[in-house]
Amino acid sequence: MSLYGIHKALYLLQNDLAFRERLRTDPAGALAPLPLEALERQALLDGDVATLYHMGTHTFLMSRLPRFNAFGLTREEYQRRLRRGMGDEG
Amino acid sequence: MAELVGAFGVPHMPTTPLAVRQQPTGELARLFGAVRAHLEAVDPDVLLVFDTDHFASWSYHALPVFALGVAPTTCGPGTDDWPGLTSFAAIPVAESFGQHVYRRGLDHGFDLTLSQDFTVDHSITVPLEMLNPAMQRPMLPFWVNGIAPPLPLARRVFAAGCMVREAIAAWPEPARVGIIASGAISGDIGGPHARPGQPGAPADADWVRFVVACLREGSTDALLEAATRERLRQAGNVAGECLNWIALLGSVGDRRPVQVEMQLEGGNAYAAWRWDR
Repeated sequence: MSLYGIHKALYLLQNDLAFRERLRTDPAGALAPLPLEALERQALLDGDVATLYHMGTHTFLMSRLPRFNAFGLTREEYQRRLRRGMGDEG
Repeated sequence: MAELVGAFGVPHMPTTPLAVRQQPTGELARLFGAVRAHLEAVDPDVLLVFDTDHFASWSYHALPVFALGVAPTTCGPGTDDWPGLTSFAAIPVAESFGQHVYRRGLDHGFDLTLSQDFTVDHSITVPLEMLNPAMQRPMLPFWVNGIAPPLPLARRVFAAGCMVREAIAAWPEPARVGIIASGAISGDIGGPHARPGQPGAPADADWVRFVVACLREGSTDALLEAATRERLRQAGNVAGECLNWIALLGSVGDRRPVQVEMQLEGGNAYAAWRWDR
């Protein structure tokens, strides 16, 4: 698992306005051309940031998900899911 | 021949321009303003910026350890849309200086990546807007990978800074050169330890105090020894920006700073070195 496709998606989310908009309206279609393994693709579509974190996704890049409300993630929900994934409900 | 006249270290939080406009006598305005006063006092003609790009120009498709941006002008930030962030359509670049540094780098064994078509993100524009607001001084971006592990060795980054000092001395132009190091000492954005409602985690206070003490005391060897990949990782996912400060120290040599201020909560330092004192 190279994580390249994940990091590419997070790169495009910031740098490519058309990608950002398509990710909002058609997430699966936006991710379709990217070199993602099935688990990576599903974790992104689910907004499963705990799994993305445990895969080794760069957290600075991952912070763009709540910043642009990708996959419906607010900052609060992003943090809640990350902490839950760390075994910390606090 | 060119001469190095000053070196300046500041952070680059994207919220800075708006905060300074809203609170022109606030802490951020004061901290940046003090460094800017030192810069204006030594009045450099050109500015070299040791910077870590935030996956804007450089990402996993191309990830140089060291890179130079050499063109007549650049622009930015583009799609980096923090509220109040100023976007500059034409930032003058010190092109001939950049060509010179590129060649000197190769001569000294630094196989620098060269880009002649690039933009800059807030990590360049925020320090420039705070320290060189009219963009009247051409600048040269010298990118150091301080964000995508594995990071370069601190001693190698320091050596790159030494190379830059030699390149300035060898530049056959009667130019006054200033150096800016852009970045945090400690910071972690988007990780599991972020403060509730905030993008970042609390700064690693022990690391910030240690680095600031090294800056004040000129204890560069101790800093180079301590700034391992593991220690930088512990200090946060943007603590590698500390490498930009280490590059600056390579250029500064034995000279002590005229000012070092620590902003512990933000994990930042604000510092200036001057050659007229």
